[in-house]
Amino acid sequence: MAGRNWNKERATKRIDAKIDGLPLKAIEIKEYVRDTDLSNLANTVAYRVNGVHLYADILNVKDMLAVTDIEGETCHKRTLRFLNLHYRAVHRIIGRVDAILVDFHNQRLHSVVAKPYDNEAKRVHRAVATAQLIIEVLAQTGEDADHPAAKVRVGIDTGKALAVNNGRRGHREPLFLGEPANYAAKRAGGGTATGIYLTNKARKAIGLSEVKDVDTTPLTTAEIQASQKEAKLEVTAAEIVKEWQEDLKNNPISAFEFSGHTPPYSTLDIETLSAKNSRRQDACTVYGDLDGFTKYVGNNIATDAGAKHVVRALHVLRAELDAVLHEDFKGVKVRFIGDCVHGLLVEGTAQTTDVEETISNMTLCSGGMRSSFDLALTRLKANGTDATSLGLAIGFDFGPMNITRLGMKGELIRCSVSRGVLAAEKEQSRCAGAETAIGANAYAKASEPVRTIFGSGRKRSGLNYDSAVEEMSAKGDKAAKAAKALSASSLLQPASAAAQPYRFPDRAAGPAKTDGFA
Amino acid sequence: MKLILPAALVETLKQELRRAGSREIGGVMVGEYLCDQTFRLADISVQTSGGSRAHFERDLEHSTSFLKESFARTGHDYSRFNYLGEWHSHPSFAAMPSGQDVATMREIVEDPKVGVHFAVLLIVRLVRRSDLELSATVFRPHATPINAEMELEVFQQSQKESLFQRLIDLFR
Repeated sequence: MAGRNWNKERATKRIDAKIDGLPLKAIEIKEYVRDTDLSNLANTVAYRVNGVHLYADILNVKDMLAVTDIEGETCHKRTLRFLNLHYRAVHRIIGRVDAILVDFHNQRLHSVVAKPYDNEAKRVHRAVATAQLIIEVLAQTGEDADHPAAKVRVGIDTGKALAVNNGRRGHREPLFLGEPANYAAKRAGGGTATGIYLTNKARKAIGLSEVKDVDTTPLTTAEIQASQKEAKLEVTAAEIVKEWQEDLKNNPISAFEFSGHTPPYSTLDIETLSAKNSRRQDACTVYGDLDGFTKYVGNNIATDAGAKHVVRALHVLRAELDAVLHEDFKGVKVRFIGDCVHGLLVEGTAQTTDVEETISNMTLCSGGMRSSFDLALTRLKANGTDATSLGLAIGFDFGPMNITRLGMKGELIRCSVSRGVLAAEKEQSRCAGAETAIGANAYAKASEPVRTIFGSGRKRSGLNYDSAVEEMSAKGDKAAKAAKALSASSLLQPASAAAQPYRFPDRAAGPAKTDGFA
Repeated sequence: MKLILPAALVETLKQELRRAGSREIGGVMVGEYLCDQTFRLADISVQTSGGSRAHFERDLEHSTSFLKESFARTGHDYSRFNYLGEWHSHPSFAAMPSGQDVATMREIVEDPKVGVHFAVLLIVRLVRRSDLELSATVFRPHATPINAEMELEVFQQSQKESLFQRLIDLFR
């Protein structure tokens, strides 16, 4: 057993250090004005941005992943190449229409139209025209039956959001917090039909009537054409496709090559990965999402004092969730997605995953995340930032996982996409702010103690570290017993740091029973 | 951690693997502690029974008797010569630990009756009848297994194969 554990004293020290590093007086809230550069924000600066948020979901990624019975290498290679082809095309579009590329997260693109600065209707028209351009281009950027054209659903909302640093090495991309980002994402994820879906706020901004169900009412062809006429984009789908083809010819996408990473994932440097140097093995994947954060931003964005608390709470909470995953349980953060952390965790060897231990440690890790989250809220409140309205929704699953970087040369984006990743995201989304859910695959392969604590509904409320480790170890879970043994011996560091040296004992050693190998 | 493999023992392994064919064989290993984190494989027991195409059961009696003799030969100097771990062959699969191998090794290092701080699992496979593919994984209680660094000890003059043996190998 790897003996990972969570420790309150260790977590308190980390959280206090993070809070101390973000004193309210050092945080600046600024208004976004003409040609403000959002690409390299400091952790202590946030901009209020009045903009239109566009989320584009590639709907047929699920089909790509489900095309074979077994989720083997071929299935992952096809999906990653499919995404890579379309990422390149979308990257080119966003650059040509002068929008802000916020993020690609697997099948989902987030972009913001902030220009023209003084005209919301024109911004919405521009976002609609851009969405239509994405749909038309991605209908042509497939290669063959294995890498088809993308089926796209776009969600659009407008309003004020807070742009903060997303804190990634190399290039610090902005992260937009608040209602428009959230509502646009919900419209994009609100169904399985293609098309462009506007919130009623965005519809009203361009003079369209409100609709009863925004998720089932796409813009009509005439409405899209009207926006295209207003926006007068400087580029056409044919031009983008031509440029994309030339780029692909000059910079072909390498074939994807996979190898297993020797656990733990905490030693994996994702920034060195590329198509030819990708990782793949059975592992757990987790989504930890701050529940109620959009409302918290909405309630606090109007005043500088309120917005400062938002910035501080976000950075402290996200950093601590990452620390539990990375430092305490030796996993790796794939990325922050807004107010959510997406990570991976594995135990065993590069060739053979220890399935039960991986799932048990993931369960303990989810408990550690919740304990740290609760602790961070208490420490934040003691330091003047009340974020107690927030919750933490956690979902995880087990299965074949990949991790690589995709996109344009020099601007590669982290990607880990699999059936398990989509399942973990779905599990998280069915959780309220005090709940943790385990995916069906992880549940089926978990130890009996793990299955027992989640129950047949595969969901558990209030599962913090202490309850996870006590309940699991009482029922004989090996990983929990190892974690408990560590705590009992007052070891504050993970066992790997305090292991016995490589020495023989000064007495005869040898096997105590007949043992089986395979 | 570094494990030095004497060429003579590597040859012994090859011969036993050839004899065993498609059956798994294995045994226990005695190691010699050389210096910080470096060990030399001193001796191995070879148990040719108890194996099938995809499974090997290491017998307690056989290995205990082998270890007793080995400890007697090395003067019961346990801090220098002691039980190093387990070995077995994978004639039909890659020389990598299976899920059961990992689970068994974890039981061994975490069993107080075994009394070790660590144990090495050596997995061997004969490729093209003369090349040895192998992996050595180090297990410690409550820790993730790691790969051991391996070094082949160069032949001593006295250990050179006979001309006859080398001629046979040429035609293999």
